[in-house]
Amino acid sequence: MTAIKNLILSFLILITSGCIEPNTEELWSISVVGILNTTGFARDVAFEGNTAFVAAGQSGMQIWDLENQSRVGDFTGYYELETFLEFDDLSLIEIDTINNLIFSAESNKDVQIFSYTAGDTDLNYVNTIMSAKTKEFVPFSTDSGRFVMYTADNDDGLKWSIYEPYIFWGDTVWNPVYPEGSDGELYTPGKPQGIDSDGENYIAMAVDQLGVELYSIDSLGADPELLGRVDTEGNAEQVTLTANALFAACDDAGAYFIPTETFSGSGTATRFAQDLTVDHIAIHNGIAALSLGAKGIALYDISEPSAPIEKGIFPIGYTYRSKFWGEKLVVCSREGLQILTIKQ
Amino acid sequence: MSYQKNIIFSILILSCLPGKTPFEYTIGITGGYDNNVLRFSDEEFNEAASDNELMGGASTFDSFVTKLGISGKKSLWNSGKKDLFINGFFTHADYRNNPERKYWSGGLDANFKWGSYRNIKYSLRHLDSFYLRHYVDRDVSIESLAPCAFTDRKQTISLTQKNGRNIWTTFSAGYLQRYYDKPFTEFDLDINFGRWKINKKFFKKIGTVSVQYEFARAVNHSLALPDRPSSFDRSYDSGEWYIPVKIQKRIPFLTEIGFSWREEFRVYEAEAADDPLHAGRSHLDTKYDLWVKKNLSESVSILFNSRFRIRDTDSAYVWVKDLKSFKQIQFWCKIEWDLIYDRY
Repeated sequence: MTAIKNLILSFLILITSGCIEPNTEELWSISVVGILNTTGFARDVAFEGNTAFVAAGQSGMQIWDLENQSRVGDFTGYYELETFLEFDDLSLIEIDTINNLIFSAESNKDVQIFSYTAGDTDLNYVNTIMSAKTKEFVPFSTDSGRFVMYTADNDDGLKWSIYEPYIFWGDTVWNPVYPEGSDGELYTPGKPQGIDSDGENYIAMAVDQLGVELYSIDSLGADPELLGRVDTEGNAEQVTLTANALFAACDDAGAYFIPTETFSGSGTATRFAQDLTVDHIAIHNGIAALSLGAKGIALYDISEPSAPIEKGIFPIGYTYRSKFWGEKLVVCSREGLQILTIKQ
Repeated sequence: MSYQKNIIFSILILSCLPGKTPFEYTIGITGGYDNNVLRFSDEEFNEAASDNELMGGASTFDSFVTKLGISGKKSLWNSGKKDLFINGFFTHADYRNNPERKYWSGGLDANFKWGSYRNIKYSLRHLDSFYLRHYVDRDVSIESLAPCAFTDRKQTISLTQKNGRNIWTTFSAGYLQRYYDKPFTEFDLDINFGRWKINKKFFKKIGTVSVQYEFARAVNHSLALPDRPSSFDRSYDSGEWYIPVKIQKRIPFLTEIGFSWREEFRVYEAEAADDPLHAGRSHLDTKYDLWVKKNLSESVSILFNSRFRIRDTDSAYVWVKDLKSFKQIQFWCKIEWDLIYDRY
C-alpha cells in the first residue's frame, strides 16, 4: 500500500514537473513615446532642457517642446537684407545657450548663425562662418560674448576659431579672433566627414577612407595637435567621443570602439556591428544607439565598451542620427523626430 | 538545474519500482539516410550552393544517420486483467554529414490497463535541442546566421476503449511545449491538441487499419514580447489525418508490412502586411511511409522503413511558396534486440 502511495505521489510530481521553462534572451526593447511630425526629414537635433531645435531638411528649422510634444517654432527660412530666403535642406543644427545663438548648416555649405530667444517669432540671421563643404561642427561657449567652433570641412580639413561679436554698420556679427585674421586650418590627407570634441582635451574627426584622427587641445580654443590616425575598415563617417575613447560609425563596415591610447600605438580598436551600415552613434550611460539609415536603429550594451553586446535592431524608419535626451532617445528620422524609451 | 531536476525525479520514480515482475528492455540500432536534412526548397538548393553559411556545419544537403536507442517496460502492479505498468525509451541520433543535427529524445509512459483495449495512459515525450538550420537572427543582425534549434516537451493523456468486436477507439488530449534555443525564442509555441483514433482488425485479423484525426492550436507569444523586429505572430491552427495499415499475418517471409498516409493542413493566423512570411500562409504537409519488418529470431528483429514527404505551401507571395515548399526522402534500417531481466 505504501508503494502505491509512493507511485501515485511520483506520478503527480511527474505531471506537474513535466513542463519546461522557455529560454529567455537578454535583448532590449523600445517603446515609442511620441513621433513629432516635422513634415520634412528630421536630420539633426539639439536640446536646451525640454526644448528641441530640429534641422528639418526642406522644412527648415523647427523648435519643439518635447514634454508636451508640441511645435513652438517653425521657420522655413529667414530674412537677409530684407529678402526672405528659404532653407534648401537644413541638415545640421547646434545651439549656444549662453549667447542665444543657433548654428545651422545645409548640406555641404558653410555655417549660419542665427540669434534666437525663446518666444521669438522670427529667426534673426546674423552672419555666416566657416566655409563651404562643412560636414559637421561642434560649438562650445563658456562666456558671454565668445564661442569656439570646430568643423570637419571636407576639402579644408579640421577648421577651428574663437569667435567674438563685432558691431558692423550697427549690426552684430561674429568674427574669428583667434587664429588672427581667419579660421585656423589643419590639413589632413583624408576627407573629413564628422567631428566631435569634449571641449577640454580632445577633438576627434572621421576622415572617410583614411579612418579616424584624434587631436589634443590644451584648453578650449587652443591650437589642436594631431595625436594620430587609426585606419578603419570602410568609410569613417561620424565620431562620438567618450571619456578616453571614441566610437566611429563606418558606414557599411559597421562601427569601431577606439581607446585614445590606440592613436599612440598602444591600444586596440574593437570592431562591432560588422554586418550593419552605421551612419551615426549616440552614447549614454552604457548604451550605444547606432543609426542605420533604412534599417532603423541598433542598440548595443557598451557597459564593457571593448566588448559591445548587441541588444536589438529596431526598424523604426529611415534614421539619420539620434541623441539622448535624459534617459530617452530622440531619433532623427524621415518619419519625424521619434522619442523612444529603451527597456533594458 | 533542469537536468538535476530530471535526475532527481528519475531516481525517485525508479526507487519506487517493485521487484516482483521482470524488466523487459530493447536495444535498437538504426542506420538511415535523409536526402534533405535542412528541408531546403528547390530555390534554397540553388542559393545554398553559392552561400555556404546557409548550410551551417553541413557539407552536403543529405546525410547518413545513426541512432542508438534503448527502451524498457516494467509492470508495477497487476491483478487479473488489471495491470499498471510503465515504459520508457531513450534515443540518441547523430547525422554524420550534419554535425549540428545531433540530439537525444526520450519518453516515459504510465499505463493502467483493465482489459483488452481498455486502458488509460499518460505519456511524456522530450526532444532535446533539435537543430533545424541556420537562420538570420533578425533581432540583432541583418545577415549573420545563427543555428536554430528547438526542444519539445509533450504530455498526453489517452483513453482507449473497446467499441465492439475488433474495434477500439482512443481519445487523447495533450500539451506540447515547443521552445526554441537562443537566439530564436520568439518562435516559441504552446500547442494544445486533441486526437481521435479508431482502429479495426480486418479480414480475419490479418492486420489493422486505423484512422486518426488530430487537431491542434499553436499559440506563439512573440507578439506579447516587447516590440522587436522578430515579434511576429506565428500562431497557427492545424488538422492532421493519419491512416496506417498494417498486415501481420499470412504474409510470406516477412513479419509485418505497413503503409501509412499522413496529411497535415496548417493555417497561420498572421495577417500583418509587414509579415509576408506568415501572413495568409498555409501548407499541406504529406508523408507517405512504407515499412517491412522481419523477426530474425524470437528476440531479434529488423525493420526497413522509407518515407516520402512533400510540403506544399500556399501564400499570396510567390517567393514564400517557393521558400517554404520542399520534398524529402528518408530511409531507415533498424535492428532491435529484445531482452528481459528476470532474476528476482
